[in-house]
Amino acid sequence: MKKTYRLLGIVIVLSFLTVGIQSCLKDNFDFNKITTSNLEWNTNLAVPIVYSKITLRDLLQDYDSTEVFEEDSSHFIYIMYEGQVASVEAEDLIKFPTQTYNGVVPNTALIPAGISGWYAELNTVQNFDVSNFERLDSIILKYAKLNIALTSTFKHYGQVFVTFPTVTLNDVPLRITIPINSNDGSFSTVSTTNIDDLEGNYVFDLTNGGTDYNKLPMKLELQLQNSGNPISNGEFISVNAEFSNIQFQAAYGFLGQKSISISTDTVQLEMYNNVFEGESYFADPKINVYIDNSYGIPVQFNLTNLGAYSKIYGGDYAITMPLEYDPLIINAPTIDQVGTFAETDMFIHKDNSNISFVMSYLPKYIFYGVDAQLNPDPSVNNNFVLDTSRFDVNLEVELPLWGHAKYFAIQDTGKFVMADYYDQTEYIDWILFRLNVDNGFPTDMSIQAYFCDSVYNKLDSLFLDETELIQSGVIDSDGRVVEKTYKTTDLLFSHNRIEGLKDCKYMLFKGTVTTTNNATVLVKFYSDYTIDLKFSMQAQIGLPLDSLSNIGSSN
Amino acid sequence: MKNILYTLIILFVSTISFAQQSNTMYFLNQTPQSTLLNPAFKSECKWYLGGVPAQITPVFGQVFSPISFNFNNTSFGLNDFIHPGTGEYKDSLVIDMVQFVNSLHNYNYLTFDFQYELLSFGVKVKDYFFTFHATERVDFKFGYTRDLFQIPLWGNGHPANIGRTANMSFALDFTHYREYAVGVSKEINNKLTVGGRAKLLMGMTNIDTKANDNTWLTDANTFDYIIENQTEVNASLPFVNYLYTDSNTSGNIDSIEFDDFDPAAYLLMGKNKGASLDLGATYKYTDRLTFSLSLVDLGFIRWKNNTFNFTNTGDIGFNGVDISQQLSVGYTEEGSLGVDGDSTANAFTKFADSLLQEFTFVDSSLYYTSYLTPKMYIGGNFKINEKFNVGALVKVEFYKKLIHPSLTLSANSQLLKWLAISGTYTMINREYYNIGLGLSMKMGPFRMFWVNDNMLAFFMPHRSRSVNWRSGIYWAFGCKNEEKAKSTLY
Repeated sequence: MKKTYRLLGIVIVLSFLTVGIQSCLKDNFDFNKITTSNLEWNTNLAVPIVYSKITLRDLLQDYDSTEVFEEDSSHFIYIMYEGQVASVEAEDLIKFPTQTYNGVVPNTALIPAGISGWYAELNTVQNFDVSNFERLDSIILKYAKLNIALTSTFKHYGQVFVTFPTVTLNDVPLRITIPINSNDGSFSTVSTTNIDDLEGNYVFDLTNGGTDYNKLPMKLELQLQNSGNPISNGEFISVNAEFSNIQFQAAYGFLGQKSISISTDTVQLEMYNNVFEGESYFADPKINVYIDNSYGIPVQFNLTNLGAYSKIYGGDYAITMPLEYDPLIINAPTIDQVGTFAETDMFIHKDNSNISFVMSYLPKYIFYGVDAQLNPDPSVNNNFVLDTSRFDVNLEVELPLWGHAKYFAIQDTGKFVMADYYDQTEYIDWILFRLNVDNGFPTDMSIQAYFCDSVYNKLDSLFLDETELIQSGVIDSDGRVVEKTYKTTDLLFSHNRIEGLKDCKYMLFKGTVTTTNNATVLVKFYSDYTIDLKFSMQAQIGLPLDSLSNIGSSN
Repeated sequence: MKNILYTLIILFVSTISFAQQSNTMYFLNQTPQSTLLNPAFKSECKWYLGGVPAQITPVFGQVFSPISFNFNNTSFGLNDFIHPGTGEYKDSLVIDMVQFVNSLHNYNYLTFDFQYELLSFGVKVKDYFFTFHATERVDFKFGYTRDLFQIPLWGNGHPANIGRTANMSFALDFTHYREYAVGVSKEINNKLTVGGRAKLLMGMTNIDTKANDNTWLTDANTFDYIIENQTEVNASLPFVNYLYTDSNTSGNIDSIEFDDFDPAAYLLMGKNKGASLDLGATYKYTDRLTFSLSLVDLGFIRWKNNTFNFTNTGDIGFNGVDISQQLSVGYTEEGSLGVDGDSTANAFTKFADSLLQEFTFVDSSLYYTSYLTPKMYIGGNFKINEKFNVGALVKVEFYKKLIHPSLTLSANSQLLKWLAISGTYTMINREYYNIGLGLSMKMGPFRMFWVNDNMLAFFMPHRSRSVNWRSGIYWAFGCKNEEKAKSTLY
């Protein structure tokens, strides 16, 4: 019984304790006392923003609209700028003037021809006129217009035959017949014949039987039918024959000493468009000139006024011509090679000119001119030319990406409206921008960027000083990158700096590129070089709970 | 509205802060229900009857209803989340998200189980003691990682989060089933007693998360994201029908139809069958020292009714916006940075689309198997005198390939002829102030018990992480005399 009372006492005491503790707990469960004012979402967000894994080939596509970058089988890159210096076609270069031949048959030359009329014949050898001392052996005609004006004072009907014995088509001489349709003694007419190549090409043999040049025999034959009128003294017929608009298919002989002069032209070097300062050295720059000639004429070629213009350094820099090319007699096809091109190449490089020196001035373009002379030796007689003959000169600036460059400065401007990204900067404690670069290029790169307002006033800069963001890859003795270099660059923006960028509208970038080891060694660029870029951001944000409903509403 | 919200939060937190398994019950082994924890335990009476029939006992039948429930939260108490403030907030209750997250472990569990004993009886036949139990059981477990809260709250760039693979997983398991158990205990010799119980399980509702492994790695250097997902969830939800566009049992779900809920059909459902096994032994090392060991709930249920499965395995990375093209083609010409707000937004939209595409679930309605949560009990008891003994119990629960241990120390006494009492101290969930109490009473053939492992939860609910309740009433006949009965207490 005693134990029962003791147990009862314990239960009562525990009951009081329970009630007391529960009273104390009441405060912990008074929900009206709960506040959210203390709640702030302090969070740290890390976000990858942009990335790129690109090869040098990808990167160079920007400039590759004209296929200026070439690579060989080892992926070594060449910058190739090409320009056609000249293309001179034969029809523009060789022209024949209008040929005019006259002949008169007086009454005294008539001889009776039976009882019904008279006959007369006049043979002459005409000069085939040229304009530039050409000595032509023959011409294969493509087209010419032959006008023959005839005047007769005889009071008889008849006809005139105009024959060019050495102008033949399939060995048949060109013969034009002109009737005299009046016997009133005042007859005149004009006969027009288009000599084309519809049935074949007429051949003009201008050698007068192999003894001369520029000679064209012409034969006039007159037949008169007696109309009952007398033959009076002073009566005659006159013939004026005119070849005009002569177009040739081929011409042979000595084609003269024509001069070809092409005024200064340029080849743009786009690679320096965004460069405003720096030094560079190409180990093996070249200017290649390719001349293709299908004229059967020796040509003396001079590349004149060759040089480069540098906007960065200002002024022109002449490129010295190698002696062996000053002048250059270019090849011509032989008579056995009619219709083919003979090629002559000219290579201007570091060993025969000052081109390496000139290229170090980061030229904006290469300029040049051309002088050429046909038949520098006037004693030759074995020229030939076809209507399709052409004389092409192509110039190629070849810059193998092998060398070094220092402080190769580039700048650009980009739109960067801060408000497009966020405008509630009051909740941002700091932002860390991080750039990770795994560089397989043989270049170091430093950059500075400026945040500018709408009128390009600088608000802040990305770094205090220009900062090296990218370190060159490791190169071997041949200048080729054999190992990438990884570099992480952090940029911390405090709350106050972020607030200062609210009016940012543009970013001005300025960077310098220097090849490996501060441009003290030669490096080579291959298209399979890669660079990995990753740009990311980390932000510490303190967001009061009450402000959550305002996020995004201010836009 | 604010109060309702907070009330819900407090209810949630406080209920899960009440909790742990009723280890104290293990020490009331003269009760028939203790055999549920170790089938080698046996009643000292010749036969007993419990469950719903015993509830007709006036008053006591209602007070000591044959129910058991356990709530358990492995990580935090209410005061880790809401507590009195300091300084300018000293008169207020503040929500402390930092302390809340700090209180979480890498893996956290919210568990709830409920048992209602429909019928139990036992009978002694020679050296054997046969038992039968029919029990309605509900088992709920929700597992979640600390990273699920830590990453959103602290941010992925926080030093504690960046550069490591954050586990953003959670798992939901829910099972309602009925258990028909037939057990037997036999005293092999004076020292060794063994027991076993075979159970037929009838499943009714289940949600089973087989695998849920969602990770998010933010690279410490580049801040790139790598997200990986592996999920397999099965469910058997009565009266829910899944209609597929492609076939009857798999493909894309076209629609879901709900049948009217039929309580009788639900409770008598017999399509989802399973089985489980309990094994146990006690060994009387000396007259004073006894050891015991048991393995319970080694079983499974095969679910065939209204099943639904969805699985997904995938991974995706996000590195930002690819500006390779802008760098190589239009970068300088347009005078833009190559990336503007729209393109950044587009990149995130693409990323989100890719996430959805990558993590599209594969649906099906195939049969599947779920497993019970096995538990192992290792106990020891030392008899001080005829009325007082002390004991220790290690319980290990196996769940999701992890073990969840607890240690309980007990002092047990036959305080009065009609009253036995057990006091326990339990270390569980890294919580070291769980004081438990167990009472066993008898009035003639009427026997009642009540057990709670965490009495402090009643006094300090804001600090507690667990609460449980187990009570029962049964009629026992042919029991040994009281002196003998006392000696059966540990």
